[in-house]
Amino acid sequence: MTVNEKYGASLLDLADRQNLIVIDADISRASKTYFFKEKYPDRFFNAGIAEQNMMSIASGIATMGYIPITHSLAKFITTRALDQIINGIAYPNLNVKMVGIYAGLSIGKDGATHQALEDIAVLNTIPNMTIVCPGSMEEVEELLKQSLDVNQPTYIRLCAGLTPKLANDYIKFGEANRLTTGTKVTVISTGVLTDFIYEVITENNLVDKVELIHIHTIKPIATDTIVTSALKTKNVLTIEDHNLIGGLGSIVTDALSKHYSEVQIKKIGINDVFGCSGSVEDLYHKYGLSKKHILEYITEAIKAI
Amino acid sequence: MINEKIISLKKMANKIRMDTFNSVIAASSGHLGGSLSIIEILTVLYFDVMDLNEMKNEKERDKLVLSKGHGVPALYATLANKGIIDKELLNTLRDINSPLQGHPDCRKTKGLDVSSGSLGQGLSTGLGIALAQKLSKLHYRTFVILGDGEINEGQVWEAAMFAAHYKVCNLIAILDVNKLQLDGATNKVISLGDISRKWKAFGWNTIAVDGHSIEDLCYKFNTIPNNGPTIIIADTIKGKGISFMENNVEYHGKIPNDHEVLIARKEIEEEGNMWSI
Ligand SMILES: Cc1ncc(C[n+]2csc(CCOP(=O)(O)OP(=O)(O)O)c2C)c(N)n1
Ligand SMILES: [Mg+2]
Repeated sequence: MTVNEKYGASLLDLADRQNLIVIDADISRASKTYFFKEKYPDRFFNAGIAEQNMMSIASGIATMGYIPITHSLAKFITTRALDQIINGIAYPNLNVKMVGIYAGLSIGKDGATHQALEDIAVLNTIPNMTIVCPGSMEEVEELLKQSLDVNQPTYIRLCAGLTPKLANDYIKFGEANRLTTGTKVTVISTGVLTDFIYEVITENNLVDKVELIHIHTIKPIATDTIVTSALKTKNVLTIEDHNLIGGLGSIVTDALSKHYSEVQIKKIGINDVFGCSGSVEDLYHKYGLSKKHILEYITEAIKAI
Repeated sequence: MINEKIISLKKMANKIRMDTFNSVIAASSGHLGGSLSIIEILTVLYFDVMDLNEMKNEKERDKLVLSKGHGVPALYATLANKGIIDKELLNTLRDINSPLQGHPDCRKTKGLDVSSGSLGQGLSTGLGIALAQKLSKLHYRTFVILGDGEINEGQVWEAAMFAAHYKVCNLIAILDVNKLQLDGATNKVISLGDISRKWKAFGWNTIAVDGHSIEDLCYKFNTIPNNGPTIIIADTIKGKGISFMENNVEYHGKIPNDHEVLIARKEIEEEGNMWSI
């Protein structure tokens, strides 16, 4: 099962909620919202390739108490329709869900024009916005469900290639999910990279050394958990499939701003460049996110302290 | 009567179709349907209509904006057959570090005038290039290829209004009406209605063409009026030239299996044999 199939099935499972409206922008065969469309055609709309129109329609529907869930590629649902999101949805604080598929480098060969590497940064600066980035298929289902009751706009950032389950199945919107509880370094990640990093940690017997904190809710971020762990290890390493500027690393750094003197922080991510075409494996290698790279970052962070 | 020029263009289109297909198969990724529907359009543009005279100032050659950027495998194959890029590169399509990106990157590939991939922007970009022509008094025309699903984007119509208002006559759009977009038939997703009347109402000249007929394309590109923006509305088939892909929405982005690849190559070859006597 692919992430999008899991998403489409989860959406269908929620169809009992009569106020749920699904809108897609000509990618329903990819986002699998067509599962919903086939069963509930009256509550499904295809806006065509018109993300801005989709978003403003959603804003209007939401004013009447419905919960519209909009869909496109992560790249296009965020920045293409940004003013519609900011002025039309976030400003009036409407309960609109925006689901972006194939986030980050996970879209692979389609290349830079399709790789959302700025979406977290951009949406994080918008008041009232909430952001989730699931790290497993289970989290996709659970966070979609929980986000409906967050009476605010939510951006749901879906990466391709998610694992079915993470090592810890504690999933609560707004809280972090701790996967290992080592003492030498706090590693913080989100989305598809979390399980990847978890594998590096377990394959290299680093469980005692690394506290791996998975952040599925990027906004509001679980500041307390991050601060507590950072004060324990005095050593924080963030790793993300997103621009280093304004991404998870920046957000974590902000969360730690009162503790700069006590904690060493290192940020790994895309170093303010555009992506390119290539298999996901090749891309991770090129942009320093392969398992080999990640092991190096962790080992160095442990040594540095 | 079929003259020599027409036959050689048909041969060229066949070569470009095969090269396009092979490059996407080599990449095992890419959009075949929307590439195959613009093969004849690109062939006639690059081998008959556009002035690419490289002896002139580089800035003065005709420009092409592939607004439906996902159709770029067809453009790479055209540029390769025109000798603008190295033919060997076609096998590196979408590979890490290849200049041939999944969507056009004008900083990486020679012969590309703009980057594209996010749909709906290219008519505006082409408009800008056309305005720069007026401002600079350089001699060139600007061609923009749009998808029929792509014109769902409101920006296309913003550009349409602007172009008519400023009577931009060195701008020629070509609409690839293959009747399919990603989710299905265009008229099932968002009805386009009477496309020609819409563009006319926006102040454009419209010319209908059979988008797979080399003869018709050659003829119609010669009848472009000079009194404002013109759109050539091309009736095409998504997946053209490969029977099981034609009019099949599945092949918007799907890669055929090994068996299908053999059938496809055979069909393209057979079509080519018709022109090689
Ligand atoms: C702004 C934007 N939204 C969505 C997409 C994803 N997408 C790529 S191709 C496509 C369908 C295009 O249909 P059409 O314009 O008819 O092209 P063709 O049939 O020639 O492939 C979509 C929705 C995109 N590339 N850009
Ligand atoms: Mg089409």
